[in-house]
Amino acid sequence: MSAPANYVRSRARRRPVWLTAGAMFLFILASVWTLIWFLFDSSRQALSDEIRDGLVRVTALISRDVDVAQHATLRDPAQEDGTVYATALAPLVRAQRMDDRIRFAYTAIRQDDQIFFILDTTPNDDEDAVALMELYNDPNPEIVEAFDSGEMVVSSEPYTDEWGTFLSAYTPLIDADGNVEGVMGLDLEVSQYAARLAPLRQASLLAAVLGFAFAIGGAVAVWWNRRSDRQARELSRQLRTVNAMLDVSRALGGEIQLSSLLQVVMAKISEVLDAERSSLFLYDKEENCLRALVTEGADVDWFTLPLDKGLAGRAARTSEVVNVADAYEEDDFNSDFDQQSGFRTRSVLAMPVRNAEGELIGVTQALNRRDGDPFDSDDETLMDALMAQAAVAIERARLTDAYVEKELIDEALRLAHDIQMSMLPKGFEEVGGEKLEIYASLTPAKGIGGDFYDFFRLDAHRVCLVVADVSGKGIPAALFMAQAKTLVHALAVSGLSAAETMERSNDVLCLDNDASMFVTVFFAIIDERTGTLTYSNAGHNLPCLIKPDGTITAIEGAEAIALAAMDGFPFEQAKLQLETGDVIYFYTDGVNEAMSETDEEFSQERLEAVLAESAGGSAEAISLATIEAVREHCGEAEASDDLTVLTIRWLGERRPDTASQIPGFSIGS
Amino acid sequence: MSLEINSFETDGSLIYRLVGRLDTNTSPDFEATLTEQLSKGRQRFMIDLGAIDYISSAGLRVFLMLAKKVGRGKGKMVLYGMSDHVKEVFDIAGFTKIFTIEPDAAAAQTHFG
Repeated sequence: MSAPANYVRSRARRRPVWLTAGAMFLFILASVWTLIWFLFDSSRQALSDEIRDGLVRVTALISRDVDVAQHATLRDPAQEDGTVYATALAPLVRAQRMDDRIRFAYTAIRQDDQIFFILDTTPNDDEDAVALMELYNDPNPEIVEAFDSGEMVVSSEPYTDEWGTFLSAYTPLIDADGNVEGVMGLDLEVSQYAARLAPLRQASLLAAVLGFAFAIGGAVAVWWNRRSDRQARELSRQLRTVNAMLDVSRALGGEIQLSSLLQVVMAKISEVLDAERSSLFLYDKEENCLRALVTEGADVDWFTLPLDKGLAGRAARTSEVVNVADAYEEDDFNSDFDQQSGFRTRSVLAMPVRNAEGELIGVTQALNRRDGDPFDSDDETLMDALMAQAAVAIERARLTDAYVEKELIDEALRLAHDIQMSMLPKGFEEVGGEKLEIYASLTPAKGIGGDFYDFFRLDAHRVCLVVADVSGKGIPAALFMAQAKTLVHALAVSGLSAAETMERSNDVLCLDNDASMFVTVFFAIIDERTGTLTYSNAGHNLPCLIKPDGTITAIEGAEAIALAAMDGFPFEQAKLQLETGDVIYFYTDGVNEAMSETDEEFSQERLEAVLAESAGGSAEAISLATIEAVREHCGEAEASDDLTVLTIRWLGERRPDTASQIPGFSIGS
Repeated sequence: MSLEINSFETDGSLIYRLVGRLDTNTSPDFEATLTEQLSKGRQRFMIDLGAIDYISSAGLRVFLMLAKKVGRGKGKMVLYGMSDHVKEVFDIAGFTKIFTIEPDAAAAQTHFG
C-alpha cells in the first residue's frame, strides 16, 4: 500500500536547532555590525569632509587676502616686529578669529629644498611660536606636496603630532607671475572633531549592542521557529494519529468480527508508521509462544513464533519496546521467516501489548519503514497509541473466549443436569405395586441441579422414599447431590434404620465439605405389610399428609438438621400409620417458594389449597395438579430453584394388628 | 429481588444488617464479604436479619459456612432479629439447633461480653 499524499513524511535529517540558531546569530551580528560600521564610517567621513570643506573654504578665503608680493619681502628675521609683518599676518589672524579651531596659521617658503617659516600667528612668548625664517625641520609631506603641485593640499585624515591632533590645509601663495611664492598652512585642531564624532560613536556602539541583541533575538526566533515548526509537525502527527484512532474507533464500533477489526488496526499501523509490513501476535500463555493473528502487507498463513527467539519474542520476553535499525545486526533476530518468504527485514519496531491489568497479551510489530530510516520515538508513540485501541479489541476477543468458556460452563451445567436427571429412578409401577402408587417429578431450574428424589425397594415389603434439596448450584451441587443420593441409598439398603441412615450419611457428608454445602433430606420407609411410614427428617420441609377427604396435615417429628451441616449430630425417626387412600406429598421448597412475575411466593397456603382440591386423585394427578398450579403462578418468571415433587398414595388395607393405632403419626427413636 | 449489606463495627465485633432477600442470587455477595473479613482474621460476627424478607437454602449455607469457620477458632456468630417466617426456614433445616440465635441486638451482644 502507498501512503496518501498528506501522509508523506518529512524525514530529512535536520540540523540541530542550536546550530541553526547559532548560524543565524552570527549572520545577524555580522550583517548588523557591518552595516553599523559602514554607517559610522560614512558618518565619520561625512563629518571629516564637512570639516575639511570648512577648512578648505577658510584656507582659500584667507589665502586670497594674503599679499603675496608683500610676503615675498619678508625674509629677515628682524622684520618680525615690523609693520610689514603685522600687515601680512592680519589675514591669518582673521582666519583664526573666523574659526577658533584653527590652532596654527602660518606661511612658509621653500629655499634650496628647505622650508622656512615666515608668518606665524602664534604669539612670540608662546613656546610653540616659530620665528621668521625658522627652518621647518622634517616638514609635513603635504606641505611639500603643496609646494610641488602649486595646488591646495588638505590632509585626508586627521593626524596627531606633538602639538595635538590636526587636520591641515596647505594652500600655495601664488605671485603675480604665477610662481609659488610660499604656502599658507592652517592647522585645524580636531579634538572637537573627535568630540563631534563621539555621539556618532556612541550611537554606533548602541546600534552594535542593539545589533547583538537583535542577533540573539534572531537566533531565538530561529530556535523558536524551529520549535514551532516542530510543534506544527507534532500537531499534524497528532492529528494524523487522532484520525487513525478515529478510524480504529469506528472500526471498533462497527467491526463485529475481531479478525477484520484487527486487520483495520494493523492496516492503520502500516499506514501511519509507513511500514512495509505490520503484524499482530497474540501471546499464548499455555504454549509460551506468539501466534500471528494478523499480518498486514503479506499474504501469509497463521504462524507461531517461539518466545526465546526473534525480536517480537524479545519484546514479549522483556516487556520492552524493541526498535532496531537493522534486524540482521541483532543476535536474536530470527531470519527463518525471511529465508522462507524472500522478504528482507531491515528496521523493526516490536512492542508488547498489555491489557488493562498490565498482563502481556501480545506483541505488535512493524517492519521496514519505507523511507529506509529506522523507526523513531514518534513511531513508538504512534504504535503505542494505536495498540491501546487494539488492546481493547483483543480484550474483546478474550471476552469472546470468556463467552466460549461460559458456553462450556453451560454445557457442563447441561451435563450436570443430565447426570441429575439420569440419577433419578424410573419405574413408578415396578417399585410401587398394588398397594403403593408412586409418582415423582423434578423440574430443574437452570444451573441449580441440587434436588433429587429417590424410591427403591429395600426388600419385598419395604419401599424407601427420599426427597432432598442440596444447597448450592451448578456442578458442585450436582456432584454433592449424586454423592448424597448414592450414600443414602447404599446405607439404606445395607439394613440401617431411617435415623441411622441419616446419621451415617451426615457424618460421611461432613467430611471434606469445605464448601459448606448441605442437603436437606426427608427419608422415609414404608412397610407395605402394615402401611406404616418410618421417617427421619434431615432439615427438610415437612411433607403433607392428604386424606381422601382433603384434610391436610404436615408430617412433623423426627426433625433434625440438614445433612453435612454438623457431624456427630443425633438423628431421630418417627412412625406414621397410613390409611387407605392416604396420600403423602413430599416436595422441596422449589414448590412453595416458587416466585411469580410479581415476586410473590406460591406459598404453603396455595399449595395446600391445590392439594385439598385434588384430594382423592391419584399420586400422579395430585403431583401434576400442584406442578401445574406452580407453573401458572410463576408465569414467565424464571424458576430460581428446582421443583421437585414425590407423591405416594397408600392403597393397602389397614392391617388388623395396627387397627388400634390412632391414625396420624407417632414418634419413636 | 436484591440484598443490601450494611456493616459496622462495635467492640471488636462486626455487625451486619441485611436488608432484602438472601437467596441463590444474592448470597454469593454476602459470602464474599464474609470470606474477606474472615481472611482478615475477623472472628466475631453479629448478624441482624430483622430486615430479611426471604432466605433460601443458599442463604442458610452462607451462615453454615460462617458458623463453621468461626467455630474452629475462638470466634462466634450470633444471628438475631429474624422474623418468624425466616426463623422457620432455619428451623426446618435444623439450623436453629446449631446456630446461636437471639431475638435482638442486646441479647446478641451478651455473647460477646
